[in-house]
Amino acid sequence: MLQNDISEISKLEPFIGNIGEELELPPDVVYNLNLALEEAVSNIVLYAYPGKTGQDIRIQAHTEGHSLLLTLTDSGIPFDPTKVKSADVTLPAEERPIGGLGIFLIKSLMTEMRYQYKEGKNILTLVKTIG
Amino acid sequence: MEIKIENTGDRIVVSLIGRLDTITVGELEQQVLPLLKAGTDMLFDCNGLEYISSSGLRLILLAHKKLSASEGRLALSNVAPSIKSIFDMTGFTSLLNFE
Repeated sequence: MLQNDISEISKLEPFIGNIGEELELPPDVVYNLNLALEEAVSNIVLYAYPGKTGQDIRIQAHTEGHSLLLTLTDSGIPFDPTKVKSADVTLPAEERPIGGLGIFLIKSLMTEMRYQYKEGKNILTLVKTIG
Repeated sequence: MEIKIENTGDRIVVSLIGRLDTITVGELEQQVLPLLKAGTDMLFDCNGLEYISSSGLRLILLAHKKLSASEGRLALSNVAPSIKSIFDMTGFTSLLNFE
């Protein structure tokens, strides 16, 4: 369980590192999982609870067959990242917007991203096929 | 994250060591933004850079845009394969100058 504070991001590396060790995942997969999770968590920290501190973000990890599932739950503003239009990464520098890469990275790094809004909670599941 | 900034006379070399993420990007931003003056030649030496997230990419793109628009130049060197693959994925490889 994390709080909606940006400093909490530092807990993600050891969290994913432990999962990587347990599942014997290669370093590049651990790197990509860390990155996708950071992007998802930082979106929640920065935007889900405007003006509020001390709010919870729950992160659970489990495996299903050959997939690792990372489930993020928060009670903030409803937000479905699967509906966000992907950034156009082919644009030249002068036409590229400065932001918008976080969700693009999650979509690119993970096998699947699922979202549901249930009982006042955003439930985002990041799925990675691991073998 | 450790940031070392050296002015070699003809360019500013910014050495990045550690993780450039949502937390540490603020520190780099504070140090680098005031240096993005017209005509500046800047190098990000990524030899010690282990990790980058979209917040780091954002700052690199911002620096690149500011310098390119003012006759300056941003280049990157010693990019690790794990970070290069993120640059490839996001189209940054074709946008940026690598040495």
